[in-house]
Amino acid sequence: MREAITHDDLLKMVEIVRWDAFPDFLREHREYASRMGFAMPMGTAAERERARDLMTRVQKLELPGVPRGL
Amino acid sequence: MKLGTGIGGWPGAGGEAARQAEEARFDYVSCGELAHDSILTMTVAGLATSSIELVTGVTIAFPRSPMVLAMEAWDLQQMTKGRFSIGLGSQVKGHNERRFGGQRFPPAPRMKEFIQMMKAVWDTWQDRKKAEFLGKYYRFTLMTPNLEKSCMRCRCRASGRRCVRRSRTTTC
Repeated sequence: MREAITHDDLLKMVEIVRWDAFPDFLREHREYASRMGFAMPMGTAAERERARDLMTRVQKLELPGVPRGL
Repeated sequence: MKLGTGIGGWPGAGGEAARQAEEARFDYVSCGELAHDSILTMTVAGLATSSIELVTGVTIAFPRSPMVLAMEAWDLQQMTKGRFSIGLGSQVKGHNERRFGGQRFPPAPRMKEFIQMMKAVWDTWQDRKKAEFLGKYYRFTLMTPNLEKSCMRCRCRASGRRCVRRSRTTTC
């Protein structure tokens, strides 16, 4: 498999975004989505607070729900 | 945007997992169906929570009767006061035939009828419509009285483009 799909091939498909920029990423690249699974570390109070803040920002997003251009 | 988290695995732990997800303010929890029954998991989750949405992702359709699944989904919807959405999946040929001992093909028209019959069952219960669905793969013409009313949503997920397309034209 590693010979068929190289590391460079994978890098072409990978989309990288920092958590803090996640809402903007969704707005720009997942405009068709209405639901999504979500997971990030929540082991400590600080992690839970950060996750809670990010979740709130994502949950407030209002997206068209269809692919851009349709 | 609604955010969800998975609560798969042992159904006995589904209640606590769903309760924690509700406490963390997720909008919904979902569970697949691999080693354990998705409807049972969602029943346990529903009993342990009061506001979070419950979504199967997915319940394997073809090993089940549409009538039995419509009844289970109806009861779960009643029990959770409208928080339940059922996601249906077709699974692949090998699993349907060699694991579940049933048949799958042709998956797309069969899935379409499966959903149509579930909706017909709910229409009979909700709106007292005539107990009748006459399809190629599924049919029913008999129903015992049930006068309760609820709002049922059916979300369908399926593998394969034709199956998904047909499912989308059939779901409510």
